[in-house]
Amino acid sequence: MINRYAIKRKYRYLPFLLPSVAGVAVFTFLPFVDSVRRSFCTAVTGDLVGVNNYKAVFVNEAFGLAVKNTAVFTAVCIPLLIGISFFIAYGLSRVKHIRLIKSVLLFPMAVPTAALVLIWQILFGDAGWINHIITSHGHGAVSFLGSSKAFWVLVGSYIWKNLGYTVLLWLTGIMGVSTSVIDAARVDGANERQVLFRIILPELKPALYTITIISFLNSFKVFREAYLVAGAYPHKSIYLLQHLFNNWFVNMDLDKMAAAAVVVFSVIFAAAVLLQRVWDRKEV
Amino acid sequence: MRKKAAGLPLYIVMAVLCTAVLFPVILAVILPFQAHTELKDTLSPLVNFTGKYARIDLLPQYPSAENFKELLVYSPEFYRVFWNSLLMVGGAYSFSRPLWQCLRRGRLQGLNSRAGGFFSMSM
Repeated sequence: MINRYAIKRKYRYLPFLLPSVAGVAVFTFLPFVDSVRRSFCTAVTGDLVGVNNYKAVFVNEAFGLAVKNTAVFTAVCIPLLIGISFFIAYGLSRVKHIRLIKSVLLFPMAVPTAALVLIWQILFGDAGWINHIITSHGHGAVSFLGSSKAFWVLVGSYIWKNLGYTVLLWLTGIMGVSTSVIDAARVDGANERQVLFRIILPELKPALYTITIISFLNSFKVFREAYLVAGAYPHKSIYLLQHLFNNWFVNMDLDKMAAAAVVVFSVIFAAAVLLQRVWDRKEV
Repeated sequence: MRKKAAGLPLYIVMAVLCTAVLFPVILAVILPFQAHTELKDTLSPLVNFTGKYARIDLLPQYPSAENFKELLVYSPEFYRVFWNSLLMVGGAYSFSRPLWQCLRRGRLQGLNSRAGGFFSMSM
């Protein structure tokens, strides 16, 4: 009787977990399994072609450019976002009334992308407001969206949008650091720098893992801004993987798209697993 | 962590940061209150560049609610997309709420990080 009750109690969470697992399975994992199957077939007839689609993807110049741009974007954005947001969160943790600033930093998340894109056009367009200021000071106009500067506009847009959320995650970690440990260190003569590097930062490792993964996954969402601001064929510095997928979808190149999706997923999955392994090792 | 008193420079940095973060949001709030003629005058260079650049009036010259009237009264398709969006949010919430409840109560007994990985990969 007790045993049955214990088992029932142990698995009581399952009905709560089921809707989400079912949703993810039906809308994400089953379509992905179908994509894996399609990556070995032709798009129209469905005949088996082995790894030909993968070969076609790897020799495709647009794929090379999109992978390079996406990798550079991720490599630039994530350290920048993590670094900037940490310093802001650390500063915020020393300010007395932080609720207002936290709310302000979260505002960008509430702005719909469609409205945001209009603002970016007004600010950074060739005939935009920033060019109005530049030319009124006697300088030549700058093409922010039609040159390599588009990359930095996109980086700025990503950081602006995700800063508040990341600051909040850091702040939660920083506020969770034990006061008694810090006080004990100060009594032992530790200065601010030592407290930061020897106590606070090591305590924030789990938060860093979560922030890195979330920032990494969010970096793929910047495509919406890039697409709405600069269209399906933007300047080559912001031609991202999602542009390529979108264009392949429009051209009905579903076989290449499926193969590229499998490759991209494998890379992301490997990166996430590697990161967690490195983390687990550090934790031990 | 116990808070140490922050100096004035830190407050100044925070004020500058908040202004920079809020500026596009403020623009998104101000522009709908500008009359059609004013918007046409200031932003038409974005569509039809004739040598003049777009300007922004941070204070509307003739505050007007005509854009909201146009949207809410004369654009019935707005209600369709609005209710569709709301339906999607409700659907997503009804799926994720039990999961949140489940993870919050720690019922997964050690499975939390793996469950987190499973759901984050689906993002």
